[in-house]
Amino acid sequence: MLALVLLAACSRDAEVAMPAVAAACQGCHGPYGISAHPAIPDLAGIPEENFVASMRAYQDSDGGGVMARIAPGYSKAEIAAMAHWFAELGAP
Amino acid sequence: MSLTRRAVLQALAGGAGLAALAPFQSSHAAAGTVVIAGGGFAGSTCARYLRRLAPGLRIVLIDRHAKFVTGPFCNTVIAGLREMEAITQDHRALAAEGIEFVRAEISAIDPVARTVETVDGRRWQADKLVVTPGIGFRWDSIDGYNPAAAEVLPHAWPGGPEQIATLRAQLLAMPEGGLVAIAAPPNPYRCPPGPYERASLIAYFLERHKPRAKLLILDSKDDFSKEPLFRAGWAALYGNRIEWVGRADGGRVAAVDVSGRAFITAAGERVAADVLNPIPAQTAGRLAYIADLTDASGWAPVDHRDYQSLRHPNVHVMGDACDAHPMPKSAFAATSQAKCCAFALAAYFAGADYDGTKIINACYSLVAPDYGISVTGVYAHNGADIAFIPEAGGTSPLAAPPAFRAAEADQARAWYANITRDAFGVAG
Repeated sequence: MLALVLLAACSRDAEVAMPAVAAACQGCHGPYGISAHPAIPDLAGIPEENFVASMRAYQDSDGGGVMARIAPGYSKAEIAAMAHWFAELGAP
Repeated sequence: MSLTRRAVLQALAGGAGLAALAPFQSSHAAAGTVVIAGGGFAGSTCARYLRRLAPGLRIVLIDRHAKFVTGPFCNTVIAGLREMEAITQDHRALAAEGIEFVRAEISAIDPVARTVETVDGRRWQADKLVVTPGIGFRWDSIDGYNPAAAEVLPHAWPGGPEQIATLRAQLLAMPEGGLVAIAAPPNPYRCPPGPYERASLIAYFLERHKPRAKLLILDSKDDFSKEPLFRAGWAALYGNRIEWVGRADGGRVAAVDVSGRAFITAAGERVAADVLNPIPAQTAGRLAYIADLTDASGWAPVDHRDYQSLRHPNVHVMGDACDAHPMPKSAFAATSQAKCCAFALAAYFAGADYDGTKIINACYSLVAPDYGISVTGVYAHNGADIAFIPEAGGTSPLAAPPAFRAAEADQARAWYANITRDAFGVAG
């Protein structure tokens, strides 16, 4: 069982290569963008356009939450690279 | 790294960091040995991301402990909100992923020959060395405080399960109407908001179990991390139970009377307390010193594109031990730096380009179980240096409804669950 999970994990990286800029996201959102706790959402499987729209909304937000403070640090190209990878991972 | 390669990286550094955007194709073909000394958040994260990015590498992770008690959430155990087991991680999942975990005490690191020796006489030869020892204590910073004294008056920073359990036991045993005194350290140190989260959660415990007791923070600084948010939280939840004395008002603790259970301040004032928690000044962990990676500051200077030591090429240092100012010494910063280093090492063994990436710090503190506050930052390298991006980052709003604080407290618990899975995996 464990071996199967590991193979799946390895093939995930081999098939859908991770951009370095998306590595830090997984600290809060969980490895491969799969969160173990409902207070922080999954990123895996979010459609690219939804991811980009959410990050833009956070950039324009003055709500004071963590993502409203993190999103303004990233460029359009960086957000596009994250969005593509998390979408390609597919929903858990 | 060759001079040519360094020149290429320097030429690229002014750009947008294109390699950070390109998907990194992991390569089974890349071969070599990486030896990682220290299995905390930085070392374990580096090992696991390197495994993902370069499955063909031999990765050896050496740590003297079988179990790792985390700094994050240690204050919930001190306050009786969580059991020790809930903040105890290990390296079983890493071993199952093919990372060679070696439990041994390191006796020598040669940063030029790239070798590591353990006290049991074993020796490893690495192509690339990673040294992630975390912090050490400056035992000369509080007169009379030393490793033996710390067994009586624990720093619990976090220093293993005994330190935390001892502080917890002393809080339970203290008299009604007693006094808890925390000596907060000077900058820089591991987890800047930590002493103030500790004060908060101990106050939460006192409210319920020692309702007439007080808590005093004697500080070596004149201000502290998330200060307005902590002060607002303390006023809302704990009235005047917590008193803070800054350096300018004589708050710096110069000495401790261990048997007399008292702090002595720099001005000579004696402060007796029922529970004393001296948190000493800090420096890079021992392994950074034996590997000759520290400079006069007591921390390890690094190139923030790849966390390579500025003193010894082919040796990388991340986490609390490296000088990452203006990034704080936090578990999240350590993991973020470790991933950046893992990409750099994977690129090196694959013969690919990598010129660093933006990294994040995201830290939550609990003022109470349903009252969380946070600080964030996004950082970019500027040549070999690292810089805070001013358009991003900052703390939770000072004015926010209880539901906002409760949501951030829930996020803090989610953060812990996810960052520990990211760094240590899940043992099967």
